[in-house]
Amino acid sequence: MKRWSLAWWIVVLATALSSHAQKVKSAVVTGRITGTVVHAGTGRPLAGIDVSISPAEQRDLVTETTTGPDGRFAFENLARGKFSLIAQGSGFSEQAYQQHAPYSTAIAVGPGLASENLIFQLVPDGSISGSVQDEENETVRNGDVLLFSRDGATGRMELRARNTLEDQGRYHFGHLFPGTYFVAVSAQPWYAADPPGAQNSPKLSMEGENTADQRSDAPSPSSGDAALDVAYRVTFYADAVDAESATPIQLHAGERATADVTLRAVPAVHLTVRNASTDPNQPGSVGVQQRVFDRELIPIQGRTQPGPSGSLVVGGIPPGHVVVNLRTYSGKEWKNQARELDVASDSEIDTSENSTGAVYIRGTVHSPQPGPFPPGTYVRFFNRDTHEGFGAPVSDTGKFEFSQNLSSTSVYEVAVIHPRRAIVEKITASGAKVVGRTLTFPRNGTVDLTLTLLPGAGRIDGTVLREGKGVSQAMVVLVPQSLQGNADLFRRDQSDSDGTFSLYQVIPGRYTVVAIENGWNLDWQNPDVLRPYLEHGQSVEVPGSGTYKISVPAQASNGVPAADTQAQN
Amino acid sequence: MHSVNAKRPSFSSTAVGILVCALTLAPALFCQTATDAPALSTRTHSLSGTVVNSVTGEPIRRVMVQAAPANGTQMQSALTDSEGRFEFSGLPESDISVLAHKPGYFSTADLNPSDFQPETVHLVDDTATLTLQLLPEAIIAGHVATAKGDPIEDTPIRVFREVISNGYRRWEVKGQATTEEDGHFRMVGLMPGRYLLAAGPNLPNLRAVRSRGVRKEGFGTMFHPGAPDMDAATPVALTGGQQVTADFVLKLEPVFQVSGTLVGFPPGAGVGVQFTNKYGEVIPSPIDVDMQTGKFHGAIPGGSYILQARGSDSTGRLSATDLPLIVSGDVEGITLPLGAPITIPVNVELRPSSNSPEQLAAANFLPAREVAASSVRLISTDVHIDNVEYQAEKANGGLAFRNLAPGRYSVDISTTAPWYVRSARIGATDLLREDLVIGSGHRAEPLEIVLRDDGARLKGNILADGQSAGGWVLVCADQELLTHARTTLIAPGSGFEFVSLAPGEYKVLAFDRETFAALEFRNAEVLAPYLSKAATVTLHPGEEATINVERQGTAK
Repeated sequence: MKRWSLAWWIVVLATALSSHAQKVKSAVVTGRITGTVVHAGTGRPLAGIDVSISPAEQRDLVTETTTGPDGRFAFENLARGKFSLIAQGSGFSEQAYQQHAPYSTAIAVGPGLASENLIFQLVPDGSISGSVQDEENETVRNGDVLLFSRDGATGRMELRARNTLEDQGRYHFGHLFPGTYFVAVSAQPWYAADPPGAQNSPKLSMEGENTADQRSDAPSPSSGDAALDVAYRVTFYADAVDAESATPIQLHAGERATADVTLRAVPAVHLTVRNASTDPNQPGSVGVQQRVFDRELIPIQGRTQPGPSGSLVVGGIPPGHVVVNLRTYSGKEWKNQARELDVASDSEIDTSENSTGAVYIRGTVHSPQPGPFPPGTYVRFFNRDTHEGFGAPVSDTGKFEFSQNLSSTSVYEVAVIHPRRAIVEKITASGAKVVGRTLTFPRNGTVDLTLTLLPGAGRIDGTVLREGKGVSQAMVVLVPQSLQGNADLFRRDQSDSDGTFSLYQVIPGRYTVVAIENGWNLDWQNPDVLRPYLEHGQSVEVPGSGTYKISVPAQASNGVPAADTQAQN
Repeated sequence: MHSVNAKRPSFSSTAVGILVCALTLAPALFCQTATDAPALSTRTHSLSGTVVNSVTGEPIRRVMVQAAPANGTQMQSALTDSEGRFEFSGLPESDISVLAHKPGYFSTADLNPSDFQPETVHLVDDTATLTLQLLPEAIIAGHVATAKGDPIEDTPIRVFREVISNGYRRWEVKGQATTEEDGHFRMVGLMPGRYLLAAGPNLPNLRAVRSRGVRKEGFGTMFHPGAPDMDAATPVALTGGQQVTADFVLKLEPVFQVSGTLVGFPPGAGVGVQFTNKYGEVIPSPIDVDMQTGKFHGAIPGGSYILQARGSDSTGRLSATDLPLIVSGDVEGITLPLGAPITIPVNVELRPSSNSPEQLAAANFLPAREVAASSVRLISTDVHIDNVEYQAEKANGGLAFRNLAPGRYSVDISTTAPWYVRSARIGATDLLREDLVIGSGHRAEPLEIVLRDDGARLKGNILADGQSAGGWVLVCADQELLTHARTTLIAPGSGFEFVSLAPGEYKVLAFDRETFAALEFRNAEVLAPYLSKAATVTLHPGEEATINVERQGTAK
């Protein structure tokens, strides 16, 4: 009786500490989370690691401890519920238990649940650093260094980090997990100057160019010879000027890799933009960008000078494929347009020639909620791969219209923003091609769109089971019935220690849920990879905004390896 | 013959490592006759030379050298070769300004932009040869670790350079860096001079500090070498090309939460809250302000701080509050009233010595008062970082200081002869003898300035080893603050003259240029050893006195 009373008091205490505890009225406060933190590479126990837990639904209620010499940690007297488990230490970035970013396995505490003697494999930080020199072995002091990584599962290239050289000719990317990385450097020779004959006038700022950049302090000589009229191409480790020839850096757990880059000056290209402005007091502006890995647009630090009769001349462009963003003034209005072109030698753009034309996009947004759209509602079209986007405000009645000059035809997803991103459930279009939930616009003409917003998204709570028991750490994928053009219908999660998972913001429709053990290296976006798993998946119909409970059988990964694997030895 | 290159708008003096000198290509004076004149304009000249490292004397390769003819013809640019050589040909007959620059090096123009005089070379031949010098940058590199030797990442490192200007000593922020994963940092591009280095603070983020159940510890600020604050720190002296190591060991200390509410800021105003120390240095510690509710929440190690709130509305009106705060535990529920902007009206009164009606009428004429007191400034004397000063501006038919921040200030009044400052007071405070202290809730008492025109004139010479010499002369009234001392620079062979000095007793000192440039003479402690050798003079109204002063300092 007395014991019960004590337990009851602890429940009261826990309830006072955590509002979450109210949801688990019957909680018996005897749960423990214990385990050992080990080095993911060697399996050696790690002492002095900070380990913390917090209720999965109340992350600011943190309890912290430090591992002992044997790498052990223990949290006692826990209420029933799920806890996220996080560790970090010197040389080990913060990481969650069984993390496959952004997913991890939470620990479920309760009767019959395995929350003790966990093995927490901590992946040591790796780093990539290096120096950047020019062809004369001199330090390149100013420039941007970009770090890309290839997603082990999908093979997609992602920009992970960006650093400046900061006067030292050196860069450092720390706290890196194992993976495949690429390094690219974008810089300009410090001594670069435009050729004789170019007008000597103050530099204009370029769109996308940091005008506070140190280079703008340098004298801009009005003369120079060909040796100074040079630029650097975007250069990849190791000394490659095209992405295909870039050398991947296979970074293993805890590895400190070095990747030095040498930049070589090449004759610069000059781009003349004709008819940029009709008013000398309102000069237009030009921003030149280059694609890296066909995706990320990075600015080229060119030098823009006004030329005769409303033109602009941009010097310092390395030869290659560029995206030119123009802001032109016609005497009445400003106009933004983008051109994409190859510049192998000095080139010209005439902004008055509507070489690509503009597409006129108009449409209506239908909302399930009554009443006008609040001010600030915005429709945005974006490309998942290149991160390019454009859009227009939506009126209170849901109307939008605008003209867009497209540099190339590509596939766009649609979002309606306000106050958060509202999910677009249905797209109908005339004048544009709709595949799944994506749009492909023509270069010109008129496009009529009807966008229907979702009345409410559903949620799926489920459990991954094998022989009736919950399976931890499985990759759970919500797969739409039609795989094409529906990238934004997919949802993923990682099963927690009791096998449970949750999929949020599920757009109503028919799906198959698959749970794959050791599946984190599978290209889950690739229909061919996914198809074999679908027949053992669990189909589910989500009719509306409710919460749907399912259980999903665990499947083993069929062993198709991805390009590179996470260190999990 | 000086050819100052200020005519060339394309040069920017802020660029790293620019060396400017001007020379004249003038063969016409020697070998051309009037009959050859038509050929003259097509006659061209060449110029070659070498750029060397001024510390090692070694040539520097790949320096950008630019030759700009003063006659407006095309500037030429070239990089030096592997032996540091450059050559220009086809230069017109004109004054030629030559610049050299390279990242990592400084020119004399960079090192002393205010007192820079271009070198002048007069050429008599067709080809000129020139040696240009560049000073290599100094570098500070170091490591930040715990007592156990674990590197501390993401620790802010700040470098301050000592600047002595007009007798005031300041520490200017010259660079910031952050330690890398391995605790290392590196600061390049430093000029010769004296530097202070600070590491930290490195504090957990606010989310962590506000989480329940987490130890709240962080690394505080430390000045090199192991000093808790700026006063106790030892400056590092850097010379050209020097590489210095500065390591820090930081200790974990408790971090406390400081929270409260800002009140009294106008709707839509921008508001910032920050911690500073007594030197005026902003502590890079996390602090959050909710613009809607005025609630703020910050985290900081224990210590003594000033909690500053600054607001500005859409018209740019500032409101400010400074709250001195000793933090030794969590501080909650602070109410920070954002006061109305601090404004001090300035009244200038002219008291002519003659009581003629014309004089009196003229003295009451506003423009006359504005001319007499040509500038009235408040210069911060408690902030050691950078330079904080305010200028009184015209407002509502008079002068006023607006948007003042709380602090300690010295009043600086420039007058136009024959006027001198007879008195400057705010209430009972005599600002010729005391600093002005402005608190958060400062009442708008006016600054009353009285000017008179019966000042004395003091003339004289500087003597060095019994000979007349050049240098700086400083006069200070016996009873006044050194912030009111007046100075003048004279060339060798000429005398000095101060006009419109208030009657009274004065100390007169003379210094060589080098000593004076590095002398914090507005600081009584610093000037004390020199004052014993000062000349003394008593000036009466309208008097003209003459005095010779022995030059002090180290230079020959």
